[in-house]
Parts: sequence; structure tokens; C-alpha cells
Amino acid sequence: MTDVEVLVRLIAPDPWSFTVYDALSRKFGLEEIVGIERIRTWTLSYDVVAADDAVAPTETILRETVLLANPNRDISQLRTSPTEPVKPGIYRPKDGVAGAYVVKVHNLGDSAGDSVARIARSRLGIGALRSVSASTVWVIEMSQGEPRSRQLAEKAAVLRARGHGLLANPHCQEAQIMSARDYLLGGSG
Amino acid sequence: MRPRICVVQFPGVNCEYETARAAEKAGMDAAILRWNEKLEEFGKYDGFILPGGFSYQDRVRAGAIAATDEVSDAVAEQAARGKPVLGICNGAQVLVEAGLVPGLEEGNVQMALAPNSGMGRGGYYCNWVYLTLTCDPTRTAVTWDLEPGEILPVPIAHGEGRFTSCQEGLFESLEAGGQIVFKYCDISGRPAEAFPENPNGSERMAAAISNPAGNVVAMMPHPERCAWVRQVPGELAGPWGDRRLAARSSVPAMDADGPGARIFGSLKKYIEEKA
Repeated sequence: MTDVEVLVRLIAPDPWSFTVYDALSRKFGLEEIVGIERIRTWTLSYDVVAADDAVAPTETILRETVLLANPNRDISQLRTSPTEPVKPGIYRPKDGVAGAYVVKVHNLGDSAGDSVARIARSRLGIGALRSVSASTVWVIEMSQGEPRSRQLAEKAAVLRARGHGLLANPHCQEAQIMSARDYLLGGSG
Repeated sequence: MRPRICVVQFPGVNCEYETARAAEKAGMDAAILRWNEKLEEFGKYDGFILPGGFSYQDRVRAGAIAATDEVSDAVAEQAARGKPVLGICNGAQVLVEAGLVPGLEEGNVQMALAPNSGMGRGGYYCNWVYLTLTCDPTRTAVTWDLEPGEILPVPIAHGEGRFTSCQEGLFESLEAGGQIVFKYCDISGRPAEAFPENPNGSERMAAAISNPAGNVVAMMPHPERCAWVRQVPGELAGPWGDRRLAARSSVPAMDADGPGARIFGSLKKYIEEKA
């Protein structure tokens, strides 16, 4: 089994990010948060051994359809390793950011990926595609470094009570908190 | 004096006018209050309705951002004083995300309205469904005037309407406490687990859930879309469809109360009797 990850980001400024930034910094009072970025990700799992055999059909999906990304609206990047750095169009840290964390949110029992997999198999003949899973990656940029940045990311990530947590409702979503440097910049930056 | 109802308009909701009209039809005075208006006079209202739509474009999750608004805190405050609050569809999602429903642990979010499942695909789904009242009518503000076990056909339109929770035993507690107000059912009133009767895969077939006190109710179907007989399709099986067919060519019969009016009428009666 080989996984390929496709990261997708809007070319234009993302109003969803502004909304989340406003909610966290103004309504929740987390003023150390200086920026929010949103990246959508698709993980495609193939019944193949070589990474190239997974990359080619993924490129076909990206080229032939707008299921994963619409090139008129989105920038996308395909990567075969989660440690591969993303290109600046997907994410570039802003000046003055001392800490950045990623909250990757996945809907439990989400069927969006199933639809993509079904279409890719039936219409594009990509029989080796076993499953597709969709997630949203929120990048939280903060003016504080460790350990405060990690605490802030945890505060923002999981909804526990009114005014406490936002990005994932644990009753229907799972959240993974990771260092943005590790997840997006290949451990550097 | 007619009860005063506040219909809270978050940016992106789209059912505020018909909700206000349905409340007016039931004999209440309804005012639409925008989310960013001053809240000094919020307490003058006797009850609150959070209407359906797509608050904040469903950003993050349906209802999630609206639940963080100052007006949602004001609604919570009024609910704590015992005033009735009805959340319809997106309004229900706001109440769940704000931790007002089911409200067993004050302020804590104990459940979610998750993406639909059970129909062989996810996504948005619109149709008429049947609801049966599964609690004592006098337990909640919106069922006050209903008959035990009453069956109502009501339209649904949502992509995220599946009541679910990762908290073990929660739905058993809700059922035992009479907090599952309406269940999806077949035309005879028998609660039904599977699609299409249960259109979203909701746990315990729940279509509406209340807080323990019964004054706050989160309801996924849209009663304001069937407050008049003329809104009920004639081909709908059952007595309400028959009533619609019989009303043809009679304006007064078309303007008579539809099934959704039973909810708004209950709310009015609850306010009058409780106040």
C-alpha cells in the first residue's frame, strides 16, 4: 500500500481563515495568534508498491478532473512523503511568527473521499486506488514560541465547551496536532 | 398581550422571514434581530428562535462560528432563566455547538450534528419526513400543545443532521430522561432506523433533542416550511396530504394551520402558561 498526499490551497485570500482567526483571536481572546491558514488535504491510498505507480494516477486525477483541486482557483501539490517540504504557494511562514502548529482535522465516517475514489475507479479506470480520505489542515501562527504555542494550539484545536476550542468537534471529528515545521517544512525553517 | 419572539439572524441564515411569519401566524409578535445588533433589550423577549440556513457559510462546521458569537452567549443566558429557545436546522447546529443541547453538563459540548450517512452516500438531502412525538408533550416548550405520540410530516433540508456523540451512554440517558423529543418514523408513527425514514442516520432516530429542562430544543426538520396547509404537497401520504388536496380552490382552507403550526402554537401556549 502506498499513500500519496495532495495539498490544496486557495489562490485568493481565504475567508474561512479570516473567520477562524477572528473567532480565536477576538472572541476567544487568544491574542498571541497572529495568523491562520487553511490547507485542504487528500490522502490517496493505492494497492501498489512503487511510489511512482501512485503518483502517475494521482496526476491523472488532478489533470483530468476537478475532484481534488480546481486549477482556476487552487494551488495544489502532490507529495509521497509527509516530511517532504511544501512549496511556498501552499505555505510560507510569515515574518514575526515565533511558533506555528498544524491542526489536521478529519471527519469521522466522512464520505467525501469515497465519492472521489468511486469516480476515479469507474470513470478514469484507476483500479489500484483503494481509498481516499479528506482532511482540513489549519495552520496556527503565533507570536509566542514553545511551550506557549503548543498550549495555544491545543486550546484552539478541540471543542470542549462554549468558548473553549473550535477546530474539531470530537463527537464527529478527530484532530491531530503537529509542529508546522515538521509537517509542512520538512523539519526545517 | 401577544408573546414576543426574537428570531436571531446570523450572517448566512436564510429562513428568518418565514420563521417570523410562522410565529406571527401562531399569534406571537416576532422581531428579527441581527447578530451584531446591540443586546441591551434582549431580555424583553419571551422566547427565541434560531432559524435555518448556513450561518457563516458553515465555515469550520455548521453552526460552529455562530456558537461563538456574543448573541449566542445572550441566548444561553436567557435559556438559563427558563425562556424557551428553539433552534431549527442550522439553529439546532448552533445550539449543539454552543453546548446548550443536550445540556446535561452545563456549557460542555456533548454531541455533534455530523454529516449525513446511511443513504449510501453523504451530502445534502431534502425531503419530507414523518416525525413522532416521543416524550411527554408537557416536557418541552415546543410540544406543549401536542398530543402524545402525535405524527407530523415536516420537510428536512440539510447535509449535517446526524445527532451523534462519542460519549458512551449519552443517548440512553437522553432517552431515559425524555430528552429525545421527536424521532423519525414511518407514516404509521413507528420509529424507523433506516433510510429514507431516518434520512441522516441519526442515533436513536432522533430528529429533535431538548435540554433537561425542556425549554431549549434543537430540531433538524423545518416546521416553518409547513406552517400552512398550502405548503404541504398533495401527494404526501397521510391525513395532512389529504387535507391539502381537500383544500384545493379554497383560500381559507389553504391558509389553515399546517403541521408545523403545531410547533409554533405549542411555543405560544407554553409562554402564556409558563409566564
